[in-house]
Amino acid sequence: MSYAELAVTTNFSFLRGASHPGEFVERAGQLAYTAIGIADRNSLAGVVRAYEQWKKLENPPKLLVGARLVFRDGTPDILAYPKNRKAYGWLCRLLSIGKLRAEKGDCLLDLKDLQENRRGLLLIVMPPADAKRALPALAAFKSDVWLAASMLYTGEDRRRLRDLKAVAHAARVPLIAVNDALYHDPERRDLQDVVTCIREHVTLQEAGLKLQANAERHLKPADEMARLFSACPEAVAETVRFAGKITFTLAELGQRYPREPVPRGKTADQHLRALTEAGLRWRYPAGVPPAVAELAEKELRFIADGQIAHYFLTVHDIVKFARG
Amino acid sequence: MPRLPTDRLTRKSQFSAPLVISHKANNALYVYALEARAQKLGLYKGQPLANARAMVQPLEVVTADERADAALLDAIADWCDRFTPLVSLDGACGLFLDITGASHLFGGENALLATVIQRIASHGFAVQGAIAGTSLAAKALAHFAPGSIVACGGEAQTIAPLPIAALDCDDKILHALRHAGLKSIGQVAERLHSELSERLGKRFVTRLKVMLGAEEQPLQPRRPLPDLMAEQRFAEPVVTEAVISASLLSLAESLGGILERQGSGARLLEAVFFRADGKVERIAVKTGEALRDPKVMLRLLRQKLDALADPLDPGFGFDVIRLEAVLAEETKPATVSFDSDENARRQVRFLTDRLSARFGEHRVQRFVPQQTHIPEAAGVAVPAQDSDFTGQEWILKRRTNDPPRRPLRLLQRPEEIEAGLPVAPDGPPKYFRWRQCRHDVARAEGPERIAMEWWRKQGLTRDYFRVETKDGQRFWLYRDGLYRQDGFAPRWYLQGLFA
Repeated sequence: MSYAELAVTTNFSFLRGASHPGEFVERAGQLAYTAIGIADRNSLAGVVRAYEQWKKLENPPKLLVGARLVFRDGTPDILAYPKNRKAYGWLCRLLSIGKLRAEKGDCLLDLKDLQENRRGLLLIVMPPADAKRALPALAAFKSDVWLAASMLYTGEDRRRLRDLKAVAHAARVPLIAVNDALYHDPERRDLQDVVTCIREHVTLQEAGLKLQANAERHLKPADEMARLFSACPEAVAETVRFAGKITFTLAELGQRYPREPVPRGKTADQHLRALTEAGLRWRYPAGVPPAVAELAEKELRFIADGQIAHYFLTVHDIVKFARG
Repeated sequence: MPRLPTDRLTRKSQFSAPLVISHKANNALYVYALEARAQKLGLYKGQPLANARAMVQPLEVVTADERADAALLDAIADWCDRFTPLVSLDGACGLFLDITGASHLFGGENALLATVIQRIASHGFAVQGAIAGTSLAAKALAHFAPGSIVACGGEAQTIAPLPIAALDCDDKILHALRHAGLKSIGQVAERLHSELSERLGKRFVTRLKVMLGAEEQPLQPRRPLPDLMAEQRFAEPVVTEAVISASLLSLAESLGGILERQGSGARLLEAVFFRADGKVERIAVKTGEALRDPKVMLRLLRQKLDALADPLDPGFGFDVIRLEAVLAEETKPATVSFDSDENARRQVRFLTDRLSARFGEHRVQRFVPQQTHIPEAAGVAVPAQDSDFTGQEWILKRRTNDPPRRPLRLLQRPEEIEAGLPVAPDGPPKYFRWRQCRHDVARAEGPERIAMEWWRKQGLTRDYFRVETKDGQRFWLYRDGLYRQDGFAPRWYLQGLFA
């Protein structure tokens, strides 16, 4: 039996998740998950920590990098996972759009933004309280969309699963199992209750229904997930299929310095050399002292070796701007 | 009533020897109160009992019963309510009556004072009284110049010749005043206030000013003053039901008129029946909505009267009947709302008012939602008329067409059931036995898992099931605790029945 948990909220979803990304990854390894996807609220901040822990593990599950998109227009939450490096760029761009709109710390997104920037993103629509309300979001995308289902001991899980199945069928999208985890271990329920209180500005005594009713939102063993979804085993199998579609890993991200514009026909090094020579002539109108010329030559060589000419072109722009 | 403690005893039985009441203080017995006879023989209040016994033989000694004295004073105060609603207790045996604006009803201050004194005295009490512009002035006069009636502004002049004992302050101050050679209140009053307050404290000066009528000191009313009231006095005490009813109706009409003019309505009504022999009966009716319709008022009162365990006993008749709006509240003009919900709510409020009037306000309750997942704590019952909770409404959590998530009412406490083995590790039992009856489970929905509030009390996580038996009955069951590998066998409980 194999399973991948794709709805994970870590403590990088501020005052919502109650476990570190590393703890989730470690527990996913112990439970022998096929994959674990980290999807924080409008953020990618937690994935780096998850990656650090992932690198330390032997035989780790596949680590999927994503975000839980929370919308301001009433659209249910959508988990977005980039398939490849390019799609990761699109996801970052989408989050930037939302963040630029908002005060610091917030992110304001509409379904329209996702429609315009979804290239290469796999989308999982989280189930709203009324299953039918997922339909517009499902209909907004032609392919690579899933409808999530969870069995969280609400007392009506089976009926709800039936409704979700009907909605998924109507929208022609596959159903996918999630446990919408807020912590890696049920022991963390206390902490989750406390951070909820801090978020809602209430005391534990007043919090009441703002808290979760039970401690079920943790990572569960694959066979336990299979048992919970016995009425719909394909939803559990779908998690593995989903994870298989993703090739992107954080290892693909190196330092990438943006390119400065360079005159046609010149390389960045040649352009930097031309600017340096012009600068030397301006600084020493009476002739460049040999020691200085030698030093400049040495540094230009070093820059060329390190392929960091673009950085110095940026510095040149800033200095030019500052001098007016 | 300087002899209240002894009067209380001598009213009921005759004592052959002079009577004194003893009181224990500092491990010794002292004379606490004494009869006129005893006083004539030279005994005095505060005298060591041993001395008194040595002076007079034989002497009847009874231990003080302060609670009985207080109850008696309260009853007398109740009786005095007929003169004014503002009656205030003063110490163990005095009463203040604020007769502002009331004396003309009794033929003027002279007549009023005479009536009060004469009627209290007729019940066998030694009584002294006086009327003045401030409470302390009246008190001093009642003690040292009983019968005085001082017009407003005349206090200083009337009180000046009284001895300093009339100041009624503690011995230290009296001693200090005597030491200074001051014998009458007038002499004290001539002194500079700054001088007095330095020597004797600010409170003394305030007291002196109140006594001289230069400053006001509000009385502490014994019971809340009604916002509005209407009353009817009868030359001949009324006994018959018909007359009492007619009187209540006319009072309700005049009170309703006053409320109408003020644009307010009564939230707490009280009918007060003053019996000619001094007994006072009060019938209070609380209403959920501000009320001013005389017919409705009368109906609520009637219902309350009919439901009394001891029916209203007119005895020799009531000589005063008063209807008070103890609590009046501003109301919007009575309009018929087109909002049918509002009309329905109004009818429910009227129904709760009627039921509460009949059965008592604590017997008619409604549930107020509480913010918690724990089922038995999710609603608490409060008196239905209590308006503090009106804002908290129940929110329908289930969607339309869904079956109810909870039974309408839960059992007083969950009852343990004997449950058969479950179908699955977290499934419902196949059958169970409750109150000696076996029920076979035909259908079930669940589990709904509810964990206890870890910061409040320890408890096991519960798995709730809604089950339907083969006979079609629906129950709400829970397993107290989860199944574990170690063979722990959780108990099962039944917490409610679905209708």
